[in-house]
Amino acid sequence: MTNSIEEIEDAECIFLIGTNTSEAHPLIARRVMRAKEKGAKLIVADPRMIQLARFADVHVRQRLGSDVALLNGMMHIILKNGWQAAEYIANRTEGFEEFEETVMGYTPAKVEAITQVSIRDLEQMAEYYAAGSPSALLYAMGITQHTTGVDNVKSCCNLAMLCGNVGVRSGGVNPLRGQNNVQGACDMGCLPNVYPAYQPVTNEAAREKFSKAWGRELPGNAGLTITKMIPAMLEGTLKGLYVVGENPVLSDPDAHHVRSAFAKLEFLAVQDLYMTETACLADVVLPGVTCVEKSGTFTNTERRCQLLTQAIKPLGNARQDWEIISDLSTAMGYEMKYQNSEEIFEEMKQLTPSYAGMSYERLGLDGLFWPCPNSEHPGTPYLHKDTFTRGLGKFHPIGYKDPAEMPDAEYPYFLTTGRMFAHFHTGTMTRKSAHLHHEQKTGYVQMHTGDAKKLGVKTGEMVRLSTRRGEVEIAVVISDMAQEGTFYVPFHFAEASANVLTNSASDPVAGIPEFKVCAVRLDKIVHGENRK
Amino acid sequence: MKDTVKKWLEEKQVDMFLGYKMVHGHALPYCFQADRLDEVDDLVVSRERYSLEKMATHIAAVYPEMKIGMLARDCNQRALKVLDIWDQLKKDSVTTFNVNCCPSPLKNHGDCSYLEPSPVGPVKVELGIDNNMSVEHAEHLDQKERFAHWMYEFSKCIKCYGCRNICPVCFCKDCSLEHPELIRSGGALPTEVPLFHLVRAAHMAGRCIDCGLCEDACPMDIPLRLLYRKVGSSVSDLFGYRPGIDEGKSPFNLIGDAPTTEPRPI
Repeated sequence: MTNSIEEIEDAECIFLIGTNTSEAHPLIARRVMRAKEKGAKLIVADPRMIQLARFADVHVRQRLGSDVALLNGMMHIILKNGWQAAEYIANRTEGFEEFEETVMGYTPAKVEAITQVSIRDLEQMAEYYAAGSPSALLYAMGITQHTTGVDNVKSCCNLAMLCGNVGVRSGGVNPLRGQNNVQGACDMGCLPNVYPAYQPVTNEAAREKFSKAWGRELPGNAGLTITKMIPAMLEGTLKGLYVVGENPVLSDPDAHHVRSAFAKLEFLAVQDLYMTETACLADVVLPGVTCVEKSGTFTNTERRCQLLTQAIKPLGNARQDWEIISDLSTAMGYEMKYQNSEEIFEEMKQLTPSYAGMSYERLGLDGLFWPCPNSEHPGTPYLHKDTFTRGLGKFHPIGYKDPAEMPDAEYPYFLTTGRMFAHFHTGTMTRKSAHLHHEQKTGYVQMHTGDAKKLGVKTGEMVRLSTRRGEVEIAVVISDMAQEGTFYVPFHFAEASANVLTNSASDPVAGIPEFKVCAVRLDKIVHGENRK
Repeated sequence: MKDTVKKWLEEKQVDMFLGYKMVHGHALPYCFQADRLDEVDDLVVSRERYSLEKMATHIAAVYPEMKIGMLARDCNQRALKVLDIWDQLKKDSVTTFNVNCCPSPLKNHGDCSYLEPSPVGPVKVELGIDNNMSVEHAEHLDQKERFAHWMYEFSKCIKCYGCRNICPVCFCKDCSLEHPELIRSGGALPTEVPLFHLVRAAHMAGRCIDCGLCEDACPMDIPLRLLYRKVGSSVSDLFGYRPGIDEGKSPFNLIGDAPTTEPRPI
């Protein structure tokens, strides 16, 4: 997030796109609701009638995967009416002319045809967003998990810059991230192309700095993203895999394909809390520790690094993640010796400029927002105040592209996947809680009453969903939350796995798969029939 | 206070003392013990509050012999009384160090954060319920309007169960909020409106001691305290019973058949 969570409360307008905030980020929804109750305008763009849509001043249900067109349409209207922040654009950005040319091609009529959002609603969204001073834009996986994920994000940034909302308190472009420490993991270089603090492995100066600190020559080429690893495993160029705290057999798209790739590995080690679907395939399972058994830091979605203090000793034969990694590294010939996680933090901050001013003592209970470059620096709740990281903010001209798979005669419905409030990710933790299990015991396909009537299915009925990748048997839930023509399946449940169905087509730049759109068919299950 | 608590711990008058410890500028609930006596120097009374008696109940359930010391304001005292009446935490097992509620301009022995209520936004006033509204005021609203305003508040619920989990007098092993025949589980948010909140309100009758922790905990600012105050005033009007203040069993604390949702012959 460019801005902190607390600031959302003071926005004049909040634009939620591709985020079911109250179910997936409930404490951020609290801030949204508070802003709304103080008088902020609330815009929700989501194909489903999510909880916060009930409170929206305008809610639009754009056709799946049409976000670029929707955002271009808003920007078209803003420019037509002269609502853009002209001074901000002139002083702080570049690339405006080329961008403007593209956006002017997205007339309201054209956008309505692509997105199925009425011109009136589109105008209302544009007006509210442009009028807010500041307006905060919040998005989540509904924006990123597309073959056009990067285009979608860039379009969000274009909109925010167009109205001068980046670099101001309570404004910004705010991706709501899924895990408590996914921001921290990325900050620490758990990505195939960067060292900590996003210093590129291909940059010679950065490489030299880390080579020197670690006393080893380092490779100068980027590694594989997870979506590239799967084909590499199938081709046999990737033979061994060490999976830490992830359950790709359930969380990656096109699960049958993923399983066959895992079967080809010569060696698989999985480090996790529980015997996950992925751990069941492993040659070696290394038991890690839960959050109450370890010390360290988590950096959350708002870039706030917070200290975690161990409450109990590790249970059973579980060990600290850093101990396992250190021992493994030592056994493989690179000695790692640390007394505790603080010693690792101290080493890290020497090499990570955005964390350089932090220490366990300074983090205290409230933590610090990066960048925090020196020990006197108070941290940075919102980014890009006077200048962008690259200097000027760059407008990108973005054209609309269809999702990789659209409904057709054979697979006539859209399928989208996501989360529901009671469970987290692949359910490895939440499905073990009796209370959360009570809330939701298994998977389901949510559909609109109209579609259910047409197909002759009832709530609770088991049906078969099939895509070009696979099929699952799953119970129907009829709900007016669903958009007509679009089915929704939560991906938490291995026995009704959404990712058997999803498409592994991915964004060409970021490699993120298109979990949010594919084409699907529904068949009634007839007793005594032979499964095809 | 600190000297007394140290003395209690040293002389084994209590095995532990539940209070608040100042950690990096925040007063956090903390269990002080005799083997770490110097920590008592960090014991504080501040605006922060938590249902310490709920922790005490959980501890007593596992260690029935434990002598528990506890920092107590008025609301804690009322809760302890209810817990004793319902046989959840016997009063002999708890020794309290009594402190005034947060001093405030309105009352020098008062009612914590509620004496300086936070302002409520205009849209909430228009569509929902001002959290600082009195029961009398709420009752004077037009009935249709009142219904719409409460439905607005309930439809914000994210089913976090924070109201129940923080409640010092919520102790049932089987919670009605998780009874599949009373409240629909699963699916999407909000939870079943208005049933979830009405079921909880009904169960607060004869029990709620008006501490307001539920409302402090509610991420969606639902005016739960007002709702339960209304329930409390009904119980007081009908039975002349005020939980946590009056002696004796609650009018709902009657021994009878095991409760069931099955229909019964009349």
